[in-house]
Amino acid sequence: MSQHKHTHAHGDDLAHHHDIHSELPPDPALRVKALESLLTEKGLVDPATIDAWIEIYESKIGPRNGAKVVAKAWVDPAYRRRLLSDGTKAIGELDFLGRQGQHIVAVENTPDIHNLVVCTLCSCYPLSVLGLPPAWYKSAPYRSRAVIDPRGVLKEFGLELPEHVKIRVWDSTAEVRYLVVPERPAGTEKLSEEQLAALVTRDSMIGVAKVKAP
Amino acid sequence: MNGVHDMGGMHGHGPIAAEQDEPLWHAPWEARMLGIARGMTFPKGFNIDRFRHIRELMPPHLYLARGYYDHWYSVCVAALLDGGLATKDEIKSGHAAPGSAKRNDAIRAEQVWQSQKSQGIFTREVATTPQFAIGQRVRARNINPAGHTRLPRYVRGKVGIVRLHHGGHVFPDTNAHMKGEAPEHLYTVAFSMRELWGQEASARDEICADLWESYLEPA
Amino acid sequence: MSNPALMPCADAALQPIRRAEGEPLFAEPWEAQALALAIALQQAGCFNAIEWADALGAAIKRAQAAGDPDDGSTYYHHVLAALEHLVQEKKIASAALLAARKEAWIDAYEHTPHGKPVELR
Repeated sequence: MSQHKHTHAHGDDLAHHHDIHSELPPDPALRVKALESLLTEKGLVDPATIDAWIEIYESKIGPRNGAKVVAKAWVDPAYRRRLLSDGTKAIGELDFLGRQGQHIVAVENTPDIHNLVVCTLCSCYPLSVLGLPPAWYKSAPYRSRAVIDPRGVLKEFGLELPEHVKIRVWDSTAEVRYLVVPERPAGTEKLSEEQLAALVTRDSMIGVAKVKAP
Repeated sequence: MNGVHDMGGMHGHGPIAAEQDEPLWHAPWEARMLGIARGMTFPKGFNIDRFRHIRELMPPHLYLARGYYDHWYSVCVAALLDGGLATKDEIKSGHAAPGSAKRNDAIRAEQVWQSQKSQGIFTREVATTPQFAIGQRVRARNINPAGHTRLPRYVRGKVGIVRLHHGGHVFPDTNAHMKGEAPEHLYTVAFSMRELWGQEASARDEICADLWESYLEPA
Repeated sequence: MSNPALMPCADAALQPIRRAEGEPLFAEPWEAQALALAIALQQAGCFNAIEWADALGAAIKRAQAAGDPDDGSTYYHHVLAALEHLVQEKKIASAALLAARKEAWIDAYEHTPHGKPVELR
C-alpha cells in the first residue's frame, strides 16, 4: 500500500493578491503594456526575448510539423509502427520535440476508433507539433463538453460519426501530450508525402475533423 | 482544488463557436503577453505546476470572463507580487519605484530557441515498482485537496482500467506548492462514459485521463 | 528482468502484476515467459501500447463474462489470450508463443485433480 502524500490542507495564501484586479483598468492592452514597461525597466524581461518568442510561434513552430509526422506515417509503414509504439522517439526523429511536446503519444484513428484530445483543467496542448492552440480549444464550452458529449462536440464541428465507431477522448491531465493520427482519405494513393502533408489540418490532429481528399 | 477551472462535464457554457481561419493573435497585446510569460524572470523555484495553480486561484468571475492571455497576465502579476519582484504600486503605475535596482540576468533572445527545445521534460526515476498493471481495474480516489491537483472531479470515485504506464513523472500536487518534485508512477486510465455519466450515456465511448499513482486505488 | 524500478520509461510500460508481500512475482515460469513475449513483440513493433491495452482489456472482459474470478490470479492467462488475439490479427507467427501456450497447458494438466477435465485456469 503506497504512502499517500500529505498535500496542502488549504490553498496557497495568494488570494490576497486578487484585490489588485479591482484597482487596475479592465482593458488588457493597457495592463500588458504597463507590465512590459515595468519589467523592462527593472531588467526582469528583455523586449527582444519577447520578440523572439512571438517569432517562434508565428514562423517556426506550427501544425505543419504535425502534418509532416502524419504524412510520413501514412507513406512509411515502418515509421507508422515506430510512431505508434513510441511517439516521443519517432517525433524526435523529425526534430519536432520541444516545450509542451517532450512526451508525446500518437493515437491512430481507424474505421472503428476515433480519438479526440482535450484539456479539461486548463489548455494543455502539444505545442511542439501543433503550435499554439486555437481559442476554442482553451474555451469553457470545449473543455466542459468534450468529456461528457464528444459526439455533440464533433457534430458542432460538422463531423458525424456512425454509431459503431468508438470515441476515445484523451484528457491531458499530465504532461503527456496527444497527437491524433487521422485516417488517410481514399483517393490519395498517387500523392507525394509533401502533397499529403498539405492535406493534414490542425483540427484533424486534435480530433475534431477528418482529413479530406483534394 | 475544486475550482471553476475543473470544467469536465459542466453544462451551460454554450456553443463552441469555433472561429473560421482564426488568427494567431486577436490583438497585439496577446502576443506581447505570451512573450512576457515565456521570457520574464520568475521567482526562484517557480515551475509550470505553480503557474497552473496560481491561475486556478483567480477569482471565479474573472476566470470565466477574462480571455486566455489575460489569465496569463493575472498569473504573472501574482507571481511577481508573491515573489517580491515587484510591488502593487509598480504594477499599477507601470514604472519601477524610484531607486529600485535594475537586474541584468533576464533570458536573452539568442537563448530562446535552445530553451524551447530543451525545456519541459517531466519524466523522473521512481524508486518504487509500479503499483498497477496494464489492464488492472482501479478506482480514482475521492480526494478533494484545497491545493493543486490534476485529478478532475468528474473521475473521482469512478472505476477505470489502466491502459498505459508512463513511468515516473513530476508530481504536480507537491511541485505546485514548492514542496519538491516527488515523482510518482503515471498511468493513463480509461473510464467508460456510462461509469462517468450514468446509464443514459454512450455504451461504447470512453474517456482516458492521465493519473498519478496516489490518485488511484485498486478496485 | 533486472530491477524494474530502474527501467527507463519506455521499458516500464509492461510490468508484472504486483503480488502480495513475500509472494514470488510469477507463480509459474510460463507466466514470466508470456510477459517477456508480450514485451519483446511490443518492442519489435508488432503492436503498440494502445493495441496491447485494448487486446488485454478485451481478453479480461471475455474471461469475466465467462465467470473468471476477478482477483488477479488469472492475469497471465489474459496476457496469453491477448497475445494470441494479436498474433492472429497481425499475422505474427511465433513459435515462442505456441511454446508458452503449451507450457500453460502442461501447468494446467499438472494442477488438475485426477478425473477432472483439464482446463486452462
